[in-house]
Amino acid sequence: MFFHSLKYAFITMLKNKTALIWTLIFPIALGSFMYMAFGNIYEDQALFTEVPVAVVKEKENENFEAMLKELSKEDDEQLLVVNYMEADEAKEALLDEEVVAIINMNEDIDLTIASNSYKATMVETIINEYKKQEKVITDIAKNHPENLAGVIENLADSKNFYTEKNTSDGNQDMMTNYFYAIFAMSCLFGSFGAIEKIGKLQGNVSPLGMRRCLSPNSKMISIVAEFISMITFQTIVQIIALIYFVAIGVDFGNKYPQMIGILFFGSCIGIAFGIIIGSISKLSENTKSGICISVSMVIAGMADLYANGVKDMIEHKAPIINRLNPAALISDSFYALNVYDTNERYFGNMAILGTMTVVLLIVSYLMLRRNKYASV
Amino acid sequence: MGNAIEVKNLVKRYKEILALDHFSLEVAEGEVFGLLGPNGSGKTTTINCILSLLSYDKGEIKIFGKEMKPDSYELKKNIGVVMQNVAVFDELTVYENVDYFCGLYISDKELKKKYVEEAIEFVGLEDYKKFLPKKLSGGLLRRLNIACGIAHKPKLIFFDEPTVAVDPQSRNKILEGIMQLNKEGATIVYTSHYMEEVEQICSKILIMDGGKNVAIGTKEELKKMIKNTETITVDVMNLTQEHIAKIKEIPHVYAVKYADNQLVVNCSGGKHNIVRIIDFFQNNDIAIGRVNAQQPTLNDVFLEITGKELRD
Repeated sequence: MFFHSLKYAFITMLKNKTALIWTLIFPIALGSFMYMAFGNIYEDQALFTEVPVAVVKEKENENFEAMLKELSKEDDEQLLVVNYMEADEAKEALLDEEVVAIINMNEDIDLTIASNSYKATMVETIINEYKKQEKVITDIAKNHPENLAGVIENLADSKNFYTEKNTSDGNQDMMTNYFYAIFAMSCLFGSFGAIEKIGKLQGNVSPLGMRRCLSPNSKMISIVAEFISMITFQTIVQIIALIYFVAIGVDFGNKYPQMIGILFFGSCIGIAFGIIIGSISKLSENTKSGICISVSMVIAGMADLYANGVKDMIEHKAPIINRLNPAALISDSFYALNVYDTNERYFGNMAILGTMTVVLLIVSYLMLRRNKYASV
Repeated sequence: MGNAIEVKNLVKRYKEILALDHFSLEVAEGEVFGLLGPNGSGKTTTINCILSLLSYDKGEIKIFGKEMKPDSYELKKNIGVVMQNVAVFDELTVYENVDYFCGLYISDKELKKKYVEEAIEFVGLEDYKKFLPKKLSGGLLRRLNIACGIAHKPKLIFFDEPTVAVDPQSRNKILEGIMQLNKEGATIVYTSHYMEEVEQICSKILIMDGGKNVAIGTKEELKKMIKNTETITVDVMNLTQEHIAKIKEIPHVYAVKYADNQLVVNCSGGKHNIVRIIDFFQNNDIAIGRVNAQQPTLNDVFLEITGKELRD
């Protein structure tokens, strides 16, 4: 009987277009829109590419040219793409945005930029640094020529006193945060399907529920079958969305098994949320859906769906909200996977989501048991 | 044969409202039992209590001699319900719907398949097996609703207004089907507001009102319970008050109405009432047109017992 119920729970789930739209099509559409809207900004701003500059050589400067040659050497550390041009040609290239800056080699080294960007700032920093060091060497040569060799040696030997180290292979850019929040919202949207399913199990909510209540089986069999089908469907749908986002170029890192774990527990909490709302027999289905969509959107917003930094602000002001907000937990789990090398925070979040799911399901079951068909 | 249903002194309250007031009922196995009553009379509450969908305050309910409880799964296997509202899955085809509900009762796959095919054939939906419910007309949808309720071949079937909003052809098909199920051995409990249907198929009828049993019997027995036994209608012109007064004096006549050149005479008991009426007109040399005598219908019985005032 259980497998019969499970089979039809899956069939009805697969044929439920509303559930498919809310849990798969909507998040994919939203994610695609975000990727199109912010993807270019991200690539421009976050992914480093070599900076094209125009150099107008009005006077020889061997040292500066040597530096440019070094910085434009084609290897992993290449910073600049140097194009020697005439002044007019360089201006045109700057206006056409073919180059980020014009470096004029005359008596001094002058810099012309068209707009403020981090690439222009970087070129400016290089020039300023060169000028500073050139001045140091000139001053030393003039005032303390005996120390010149030592100073040059020290400058050449300048090194960083910190080491950059990635804590994981994951992507830590801000745009990916939006996608974490989309997954959180999408998991919570599983609640819509759950409301419908639970309504069809309750004799006092739908004729279908009444007919099912009359069958010679425990209600628990139907509830478990429906829950399993919903979880499986929802998790698979989330995995499809994950594959899609990876395919269009969103970098979630490489901890896929753990990510599937997040999607599973996220689906569990979304569905459990729908089940408990669906168990309130005195509300209409529209009201229940309204509650689910409002709550999902609000708590997904609190997990950075609409603007980055909301979650951090809550973390500083009232961290308990983030510990209890399923959307924040889902989003934070993705973040923790990609940022931290250990899984401690990830497992902590999963444990909270799992516990919340169990509590919601127990309360829902008690509410469903209490409900009796009540029509005069 | 024993009783399929026994209800004794059932009391059900909704806060201040007494929905069932020491209501009792017996339905014998093999009967087609009609449960009638105006809106709010307690029919649905009675059925829901019998089916253990609703708890009750007092009383006893037995199905096939055994106490009926929410977890009486063995008893539930023998019960089928066809509700007024169509209760099927929109996402499933006709075949899948019947298969799903039959599968809740029948575990054996081969037997289930046989029963599903038989149920679909029984309601005449063989050509619509792969159709989704939304593609079916109102009548076909009602037939699917019936197939889902009876596919597991229950011994006791509740039909709650199964012919609401269906065309005469579909209604006829449904009623024939119910009679066929009864012939095959099923006990039927039938509720409807269509009196002619109840009169047509029910072997015993209970009329309830205010949560009480107000009349029970065969349709003939019920008709004998009311005052009116014959209604005679005569098309006649220019009757005077004097004539009407004389007609009222004819034996067994208890009510006379005259309007729009039509005389309606209600008689209580007696034989040859129509002859006495016609004799009156002949003796008074009054020309008459069409004359019609009608036995009381179940509708007359229902209205006389439950009253003519509007219900909610």
